Amino acid sequence: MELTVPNEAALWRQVIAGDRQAFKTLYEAYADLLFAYACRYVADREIIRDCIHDLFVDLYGSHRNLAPQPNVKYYLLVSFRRKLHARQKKASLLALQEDMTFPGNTFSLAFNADDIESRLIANEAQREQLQQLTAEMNRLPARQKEILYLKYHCGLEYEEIAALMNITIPTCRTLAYRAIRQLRRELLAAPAHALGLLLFLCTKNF
Amino acid sequence: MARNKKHPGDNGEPEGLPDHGKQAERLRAIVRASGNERLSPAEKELLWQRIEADLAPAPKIAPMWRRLSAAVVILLLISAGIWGWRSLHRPSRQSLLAFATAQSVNMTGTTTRLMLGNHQQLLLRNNRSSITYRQQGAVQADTQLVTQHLDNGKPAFNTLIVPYGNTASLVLEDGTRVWLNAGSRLVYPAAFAAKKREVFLEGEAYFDVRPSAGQPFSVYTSDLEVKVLGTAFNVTAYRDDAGQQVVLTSGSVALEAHKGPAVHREQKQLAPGNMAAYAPGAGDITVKDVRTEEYVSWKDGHIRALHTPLEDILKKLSRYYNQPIQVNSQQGKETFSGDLDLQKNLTDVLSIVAATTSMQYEKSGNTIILKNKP
Repeated sequence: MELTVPNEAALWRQVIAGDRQAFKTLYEAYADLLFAYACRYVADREIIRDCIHDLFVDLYGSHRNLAPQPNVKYYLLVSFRRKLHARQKKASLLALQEDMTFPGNTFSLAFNADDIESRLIANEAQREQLQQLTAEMNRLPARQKEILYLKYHCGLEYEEIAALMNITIPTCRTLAYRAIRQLRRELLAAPAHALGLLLFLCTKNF
Repeated sequence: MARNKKHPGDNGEPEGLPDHGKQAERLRAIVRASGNERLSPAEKELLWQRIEADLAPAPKIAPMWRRLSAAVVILLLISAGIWGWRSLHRPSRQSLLAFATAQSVNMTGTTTRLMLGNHQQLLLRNNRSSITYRQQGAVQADTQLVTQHLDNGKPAFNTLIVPYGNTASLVLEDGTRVWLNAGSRLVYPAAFAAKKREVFLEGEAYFDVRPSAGQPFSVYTSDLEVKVLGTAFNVTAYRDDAGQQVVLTSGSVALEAHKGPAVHREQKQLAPGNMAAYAPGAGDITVKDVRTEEYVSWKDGHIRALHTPLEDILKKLSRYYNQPIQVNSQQGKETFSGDLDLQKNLTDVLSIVAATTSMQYEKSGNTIILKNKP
């Protein structure tokens, strides 16, 4: 998902200046990422739309006081998470199940390789490998999946992921490493045809 | 090596395994392809409409409008569904309206400004400017002649901003004449499309539309669409007024709300002498008969009052001369008739008002206050 806008720094300056056109551009660029992110924690589309609405309305309300050079994506995600959290907390209080739906405790994502299969994979054996990798990724604990998602889907840095998930940076890295190790271990134990995978599995960029 | 937990370095990524790019790429590809839920285009557009409706108003808005805005916003949310859906099927209106409403313009200042499609801006020193569009984007603005390049098929929106204290008259590319009153903004393409002519107005303007078969003319305001069938009429749509009005002097227009409670109602057809009024907070479009000269006389440089509340007269003067004027008396509600010549300076005009109303005026700070004689 390519979400970068041509000149984010310039756009952000216009947003601070209160330019509504720039504001709309910001919305167009990030609404889908925010929506997908929220779907990891909240099932109700209407709640998500409300939170996106509140995020942008509040952002506009305080445009004069915005930081001059933030990482825009990270800034939006952090503010948005706060909105989701507040909304969830309110909802769960009403439902008398306090904190059960606290975002962060309930990251939910099913990895799915269907979309990339046809594009990436030439033969049947490789297809199976891909399916197996996907299946193993789906067995990872929620927090490890969350890190993978924030890193590769949202394109955040470890420092940002740690802050967003409210954990320390070493913890974040350790969790990431565990995810990779887990995948390696599971694939090692798998039938022979999957062994090839092991060799390719990598943490270099992780 | 893999079983031992590696302690990550301070800056780098965890290391310890060779880079087998292909599999790592697969992992990343799977993550990227997963959890990709998106808002539908309609949902996305609708949500933006909702956000936009709730954005804090621009700084220069009178307090009355702020009080009203809460009510307006609530009504808008109800109507947004239909409007949003319909807007998807009306790309051209949407683009003019979207452009006009997203435009961030400074209505303060004292100089009339003409903004061309290519980010060029002309400052017009004359406070009664006259502008004429010719073929192929050439514009005569008072004594300046400028040209702008027109991209075929893509509308180049021009904007004329007339601050308080100024008025301007304009001949559009199709020959339609527009008189813009003080504190107004008109957005229009430098050259109209073959099938329709559309402009956007904030403030007040009198239109004398050149008839053109098969090329209907529409004036949009923030809330209304005035569909013209070759005619002359006046539109008032100031942001700091609670409602908007259309007064028809000749010909025929049809009126449709695109915001507020009347949004899905049938359009209203006006006959000469009719005034239609619409306040998004107040319900349907209402139509009554008026003496039209009272509403359009400003374009010829005078105010014709016919049982007009003093407050309304003062508001017009206030806009025309860019001078805050208050009335400090119950007399503000009383009505007056007569003719005020706006060619005179404000002091002369105020003297006439004071004499007619048996009041006196004094300056307090930046504001002129009319009050009863002691």
